[in-house]
Amino acid sequence: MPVYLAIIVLVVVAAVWAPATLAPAGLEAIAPLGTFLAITALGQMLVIMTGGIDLSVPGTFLLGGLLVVGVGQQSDDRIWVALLTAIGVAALVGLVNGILIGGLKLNALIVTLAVGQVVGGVANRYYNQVAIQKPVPPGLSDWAAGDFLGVTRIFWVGVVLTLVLVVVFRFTGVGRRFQVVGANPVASHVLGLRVNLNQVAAYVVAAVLYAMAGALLAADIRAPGVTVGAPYLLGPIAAVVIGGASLTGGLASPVSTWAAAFFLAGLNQMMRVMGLPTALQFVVFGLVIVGGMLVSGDRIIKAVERILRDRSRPGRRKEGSLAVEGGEP
Amino acid sequence: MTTGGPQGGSAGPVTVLELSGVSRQFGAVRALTDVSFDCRAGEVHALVGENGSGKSTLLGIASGFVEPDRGSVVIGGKRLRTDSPALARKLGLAMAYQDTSLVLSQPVKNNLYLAAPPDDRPPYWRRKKWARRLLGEFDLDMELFPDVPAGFLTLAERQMFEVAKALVSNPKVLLLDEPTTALGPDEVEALHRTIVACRSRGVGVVYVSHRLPEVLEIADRITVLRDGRARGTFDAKTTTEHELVDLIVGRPFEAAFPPSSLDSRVQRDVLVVDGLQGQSFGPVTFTLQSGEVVGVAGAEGNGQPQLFDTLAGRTPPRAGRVVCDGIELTLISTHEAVKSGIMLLAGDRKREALMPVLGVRVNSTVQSLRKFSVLGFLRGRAERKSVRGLVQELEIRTPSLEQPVEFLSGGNQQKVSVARTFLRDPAVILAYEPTQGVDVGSRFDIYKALRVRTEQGAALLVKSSDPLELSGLCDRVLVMSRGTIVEEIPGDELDEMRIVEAIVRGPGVSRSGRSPFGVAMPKSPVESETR
Repeated sequence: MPVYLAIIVLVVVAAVWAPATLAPAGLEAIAPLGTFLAITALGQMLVIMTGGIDLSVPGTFLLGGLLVVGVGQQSDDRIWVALLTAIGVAALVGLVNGILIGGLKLNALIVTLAVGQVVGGVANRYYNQVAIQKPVPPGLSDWAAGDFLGVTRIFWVGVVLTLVLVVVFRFTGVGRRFQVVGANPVASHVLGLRVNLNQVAAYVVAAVLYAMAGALLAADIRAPGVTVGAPYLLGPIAAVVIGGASLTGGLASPVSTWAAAFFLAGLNQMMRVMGLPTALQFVVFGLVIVGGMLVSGDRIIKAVERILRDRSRPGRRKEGSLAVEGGEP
Repeated sequence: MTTGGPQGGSAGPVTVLELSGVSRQFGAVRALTDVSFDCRAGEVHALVGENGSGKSTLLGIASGFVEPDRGSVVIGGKRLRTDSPALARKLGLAMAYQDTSLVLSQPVKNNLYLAAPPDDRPPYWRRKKWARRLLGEFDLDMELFPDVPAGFLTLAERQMFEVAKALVSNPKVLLLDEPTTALGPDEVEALHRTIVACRSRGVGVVYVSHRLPEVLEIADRITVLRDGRARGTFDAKTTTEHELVDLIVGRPFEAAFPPSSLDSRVQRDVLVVDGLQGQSFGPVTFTLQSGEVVGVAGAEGNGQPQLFDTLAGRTPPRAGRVVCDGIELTLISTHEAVKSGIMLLAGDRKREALMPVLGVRVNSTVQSLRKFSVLGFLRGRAERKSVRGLVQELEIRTPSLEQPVEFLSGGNQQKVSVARTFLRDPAVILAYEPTQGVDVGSRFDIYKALRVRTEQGAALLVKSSDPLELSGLCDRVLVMSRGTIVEEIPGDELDEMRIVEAIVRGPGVSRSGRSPFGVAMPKSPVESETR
């Protein structure tokens, strides 16, 4: 699992060159940022497992955050209404994506890009008319500011969502079918599984996750600006890929994706601590994503195996051991 | 063509391709074990064996696509070090692929241009003239216009052109992988003429085919592969077809079918198909009874796959009625078909039947998850127990229940598919080429497993291109031609010859006069309708 290796490398590098990253204050900054990225990445992971991709994340994310502000009207009585509205609207956005892609078989890249534009536009207008520079209900931001076991509550929401996905995939029929459909949609269709339904469901659940992340971010920073969604276009995709999923669909691990999101958040934090110029931060971030794609999957392990095998080739004088191997029935 | 034959008249034949001690393993499957094979300049060396005997792997290794675990490849005296097709080509090896490697959207001239080594390419704007000249030189009896997109060629033309493409690079060794599957007798003759011409120019030709008469006609030497091991190399002049068959099969084939389970006391109609019409087949009318195994025979391309797809709900029918277990089906979705008890064992296992990256357990239970779940949660222990039992019963050879099925052999993959029918009690099983790419040993297990299902009341419809398999396995056989059933052969008349005769007599075949076993006949109803 290259993700965990990457995290170890990151921790070592940070400990040597930017110890402030690992100081309590640094970790406190990473926990919420990593969680927002992790939750959006989990949504993106579901979509990628079906062989699709979702570029409407920033729009849905922003809309989710703004709806909590706008519908919440700074009143603690309206917290739940606001959250449910955000989730419901996001589900609708996901449904549009899902029907266009899973039902009508349009190209996921273009559809989600277009839908993301529309949603982003609507969110912008909504911001200017309703939510401009207004905070979320105080009850929500107070809740988000609180700790559980010494870590922000936001972090635990991410953990719970990850665990829910783990349980769904490992122990439920729904999760199993979803994985099967991702692994081979053609065969799944022959076998009578509802491939389209699973694809649509992926986009709906994913959109709900984006909105939840957006709402959490709004709760964290109280008054979300109009650009909060921007980092969540590439970030989640990078996390999914570094987490070991293949962009052509199939299997993926929620835990690895979650860990990869924290790796990226940690990297970001470290670069800030080191005081790298923003421009340079982008460069490093991009390079790490490409590097992550290079080492994702078991490519490294395979490469090492091949090197070992090539090494052993000229010196294969030990015919005895080979004979034993060949004698197996 | 810039150079003549290499070392044509020198003393003693030169070995142009030499594989020594080659082994290759895919997961738990030993595709090749310590195989040595060589081809001399100016000879045709045939490689024969069943599906899954390791022929393709051997060719893959020789052509640089597959890296051997052990052993070496020497082409034209130089060792092929890395698994690089480009390097193999540079060393003088060319291959004509079975599933052709043409760029279908591009015209013939561009395909040819692409295939030529950069030094031999003409100026780009002159490639049409160049292509026409070359195609004439190869004498393949093809009237190809260089401007025709390769996708417009018939299957037979594509196959011939594939050989032409391989010859463009002026190779020392030419590998032909089943070059005649789509060809009629005249074209086979033309191809053989070209091969003989190559041979006399000093090219070494490796000819892979399962058609023994052709092999005996063209080859100088013949190597038999079975279960990934070489079973000997023989002089074609002194070998008979019969000897080769014995070596290929490895055991007498007659006894390899389970007895019929047809029980006249409990018969009832489980599937009634009445006037069913669909894409390029129909109207088709027949009835399947419980416990019955019914075969579907016919030359390829006469509507069999379309009939199976429609019955499985993959393509909606145009007209007609299908009643399964007393319930009329709409056949508009696979979900409905499976729910009403029709299960398809698809022919293209990797693409249409299995989730290659998932394990044996997950693959076996995809269609019966409800059986193992309580309130949506899976009971892992019950699932594992059930699958473990099936792995034993069907003798699925796998290191563990979690082994990804892509690493299993064809036979074991098919057994995983068959295992699904044990977990669902279907009324009808549709088996499309159930033993394609399955080794002889597993075949019997699969027949036996399918018979167990029919003994428990299911009806089985089998499409097979192997008349021997149909006559051994089935209770009766329907012969299809041009999309309709032209003949029904009852059980007491069933034998291989009878089926072959029925196929050859079918109206779809006699007109073009092509071999009944050709994979596709250019003028088949499929193509003429979709035009």
